[in-house]
Amino acid sequence: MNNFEQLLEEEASAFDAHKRQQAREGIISTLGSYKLIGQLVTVFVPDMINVLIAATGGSQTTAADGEGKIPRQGRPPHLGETPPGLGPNLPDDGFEDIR
Amino acid sequence: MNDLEVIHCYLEFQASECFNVLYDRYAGKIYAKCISILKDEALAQDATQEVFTKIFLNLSRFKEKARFSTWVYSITYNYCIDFLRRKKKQKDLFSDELENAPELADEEVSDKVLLEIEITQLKKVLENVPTSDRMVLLMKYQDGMSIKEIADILEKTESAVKMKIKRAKAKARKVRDEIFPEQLV
Repeated sequence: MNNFEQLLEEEASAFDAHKRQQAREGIISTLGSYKLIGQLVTVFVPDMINVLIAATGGSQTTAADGEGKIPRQGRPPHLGETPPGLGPNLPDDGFEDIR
Repeated sequence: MNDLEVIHCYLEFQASECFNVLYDRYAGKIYAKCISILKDEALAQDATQEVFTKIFLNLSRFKEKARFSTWVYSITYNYCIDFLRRKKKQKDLFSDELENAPELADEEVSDKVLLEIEITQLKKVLENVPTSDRMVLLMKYQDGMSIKEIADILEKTESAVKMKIKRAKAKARKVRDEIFPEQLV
């Protein structure tokens, strides 16, 4: 180790424990914020894009749909939970003939 | 674990232990370089934090072409250079060799002259040479960087870096002779 390197070691030891810990906490906090932003973007941006597409009358796609879009109008009725704006086809109650 | 093993471990597992290993290895050295260049403890501490944040945000971009320490120190120097440029509003921190004609004899100072300076004297000498000279001397003798690596950091040609190092050595010897004249005996 030459004199320049020895000087570096000596000066590095002047970074006392308190300052070292303060800097460490600052870094962890900053990295945590970046990680949170990344997670929010990953979770919410695809859904936001789908909402915008739906609002402009386009077809929504999901990550699972690897085969392309299903046209809105040809879609069979939901037999489960009814999405907003779409209702199930009501069965023919037979009263139309009487009315 | 060597640096590369720790890096791979951190990138794969995001383990806080790996973060702590790298931090403990380099935080003090980054701080030492920052305080040497910026000459202010508070600024050096902030700089250390900023540099480390950059390191970890860009860790996946480390290509292993150079040593990890070289990559870390290049980020450190670039941060300090950018800071000083913004502070002094000086576009080229390293343009002084063009503007200030050297008053020194054009004699090559051997590495031995610098490497034999005692540590406390070396610290004083480095404090009294211009920032740009101090930086190239640290890059060459403290970090073991090649001329090409220094040229890449400073965005200069290799011949310009060689000239810069030559003049920095001459200035360091001149400062040493002025501050510690007893060495001339």
